[in-house]
Amino acid sequence: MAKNKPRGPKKTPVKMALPKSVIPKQSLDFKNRTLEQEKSFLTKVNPTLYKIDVGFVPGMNVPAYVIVNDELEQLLLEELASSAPGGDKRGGGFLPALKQVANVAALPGIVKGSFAMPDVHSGYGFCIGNVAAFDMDDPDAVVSPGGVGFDINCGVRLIRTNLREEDVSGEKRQELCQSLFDHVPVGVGQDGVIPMNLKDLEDVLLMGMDYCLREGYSWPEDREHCEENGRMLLADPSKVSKRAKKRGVTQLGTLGAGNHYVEVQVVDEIFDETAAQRMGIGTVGQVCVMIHSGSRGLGHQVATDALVEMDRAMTRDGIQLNDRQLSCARIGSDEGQQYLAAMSAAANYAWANRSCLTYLVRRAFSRTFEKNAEDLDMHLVYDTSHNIAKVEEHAMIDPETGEPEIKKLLVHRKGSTRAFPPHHPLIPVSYQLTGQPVLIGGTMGTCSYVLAGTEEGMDYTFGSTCHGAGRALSRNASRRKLDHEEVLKQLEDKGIAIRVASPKLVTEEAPESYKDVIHVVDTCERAGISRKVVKLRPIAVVKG
Amino acid sequence: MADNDDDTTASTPLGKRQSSRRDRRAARATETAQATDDVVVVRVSSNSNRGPSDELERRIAASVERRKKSNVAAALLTVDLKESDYNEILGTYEYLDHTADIQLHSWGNSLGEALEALALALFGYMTKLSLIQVNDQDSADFGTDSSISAHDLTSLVFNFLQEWLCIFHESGFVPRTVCVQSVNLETFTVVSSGKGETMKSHKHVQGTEVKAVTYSNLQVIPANNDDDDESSPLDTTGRWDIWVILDI
Repeated sequence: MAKNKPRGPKKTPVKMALPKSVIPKQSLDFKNRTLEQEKSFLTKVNPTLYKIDVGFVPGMNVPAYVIVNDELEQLLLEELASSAPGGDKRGGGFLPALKQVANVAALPGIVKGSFAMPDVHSGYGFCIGNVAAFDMDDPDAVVSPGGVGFDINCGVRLIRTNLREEDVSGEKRQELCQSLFDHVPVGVGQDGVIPMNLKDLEDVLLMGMDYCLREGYSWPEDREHCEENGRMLLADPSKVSKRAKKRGVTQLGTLGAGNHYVEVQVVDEIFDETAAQRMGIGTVGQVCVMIHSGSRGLGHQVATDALVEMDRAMTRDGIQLNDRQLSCARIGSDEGQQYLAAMSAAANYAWANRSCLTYLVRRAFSRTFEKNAEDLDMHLVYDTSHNIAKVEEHAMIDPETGEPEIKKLLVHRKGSTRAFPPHHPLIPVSYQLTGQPVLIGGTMGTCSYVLAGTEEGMDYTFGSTCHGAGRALSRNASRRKLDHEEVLKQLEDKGIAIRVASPKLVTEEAPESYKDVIHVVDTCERAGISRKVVKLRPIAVVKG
Repeated sequence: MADNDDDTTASTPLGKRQSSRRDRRAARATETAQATDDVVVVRVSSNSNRGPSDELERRIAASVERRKKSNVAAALLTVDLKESDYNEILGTYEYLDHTADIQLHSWGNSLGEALEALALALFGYMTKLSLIQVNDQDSADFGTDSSISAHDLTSLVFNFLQEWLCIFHESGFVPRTVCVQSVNLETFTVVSSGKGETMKSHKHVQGTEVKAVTYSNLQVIPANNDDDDESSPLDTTGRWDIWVILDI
């Protein structure tokens, strides 16, 4: 298979998107296995780690690993059981997360293993919470739009303030929440207020946060506290389709709907005093703002375009994969390069979008408290993305010599956050001693976390950890089981002000619909891939 | 700023930085004023050293006013909600459970009918369809003769649904009815039209934003054809079933 091929200089020109040799051998055995037979491929290596052996799905190149806790273990096994043979196979249904993690391990050029974080759940192509790295020196290695997701560079940023919880209480809390809702365009089909034309959009795609800095939407120090300094240099606006641009031109500075939000939070608990001090959020009761959004319609369109393009190329070349949503292309192929350039441009758009939202949030705060944002100390703590593919260098053990060597990898993180350890060259000076801040968005009404990256995680999961709570209930089930009024009442009892554009989201996004973020974060800490720094709880929520 | 490390920036007195930002903002305001005096230029894109424009301030102020007046959020929190307000069924389709996303299942007595129902299922998830009225102008502008081509049956369904989603994202147009005018399974092309209107926040209910259509477990089960033999000619009539997972 692909991983045993001798590595050499890149073959040029790469005509076919994928070599024919990677077509997985389809076998009936895979379809007619019983649940017990399926389970024989799973081994629990230690209390937080499941290993899925090669053979679980056709063509696996490496094993797959899932970082678990008891709750998750049960959920995943139930999901696997309900999809096992015996049920109605004709139509409907979806692939269980365990199968999806394993399918990714069957992609050409993958190294070490396909990893799933403890907030994993079934998605499309890659599951949500999947991390996979591909060897850039392997000519067969691939890039997959399904490994990034439709919302390219969806991410979270945290802004601190010098306000205290008591400054934002009672009437003031409602006033602030309403002001945020008025400022930030939320919901389906809402246009942004940032003046844009196609020329501006090209600049946004090329420059990311540097555009916002130029236009005065961002503060110069913001970009220091953002992954990649808010700009991917691989970006090429000419690789973004006209249709995607058309969607992007009206939507800069909009929040979107679904799980995206702006939340005012207070520091609830501090686990690591020193690291919290470095981030400027050193006292319990301090008010912060969390923004969760992505690249909006532009990113979705870029991903769709790439998916259609790669699907066509694979049909042309007669290649079949375990899952059509996993469509991919060799990194060196035209399709692969085109996607990387377009994805980077969409990532830049997402950073610019979050920066414009930050501008609006700062304005809403300064109006409400009649102070300017600088006096409110509204600095960016950090900005992390949890849907992205990046070229990174990682130390890998050479199987022949047993010596570690530095390898250039294309790391796909879908629903997973980068968590680099202390002293890593790619993290800002202020966090060199503490490790990269990792922002974990909780759910409406529960808590969020700031974590820090660890050395162990760097060796174990390519420096990656979880991204949030991860859904546990389906959207329909949430609405059937939960009562709209009751959810609102519970939030009110907790003193949380809320403004939601779509009433449907109140129950769909209720805390009960998600896994417990506390367990997810604790599991990551037990597994050693990140450690807790600060816990935040919401006091005001604005959602699509 | 790139060569300025964090520690130096953080230790700069706040007042100093504020004043420089204010100066820049003031300087830019003067520039814009001059530019508008000289020629009729609304924006000066080539200038690389300016703060947010006055135009932006005006736009934000106007948008904030608009939203305050509409009072959307306050109204929604008191509204009496029933399950039937979402996911109305106005055709031969249903919504199936999926952990994070939603699965559409539609069917019909021909591929065309199944596709029509599928498109309605998509829009029914985004807004309350029964509130959509037919506006002839909107329908003519955005919903007429949308045509797509594909390379196989699966991509035909994918492209068809994606096209309608794009029409919505580009224009806000939501069809109340969709009519498939022609389906060709040799060239894999579909031409369809819809009648409806563009979505307005004061008139229509906001449902869930659909990010994209996915290939994940996308299944098309043709009439009288239980195996996946795509080489035999397909009958476009008879019961067809389609399953699609949407990314929410």
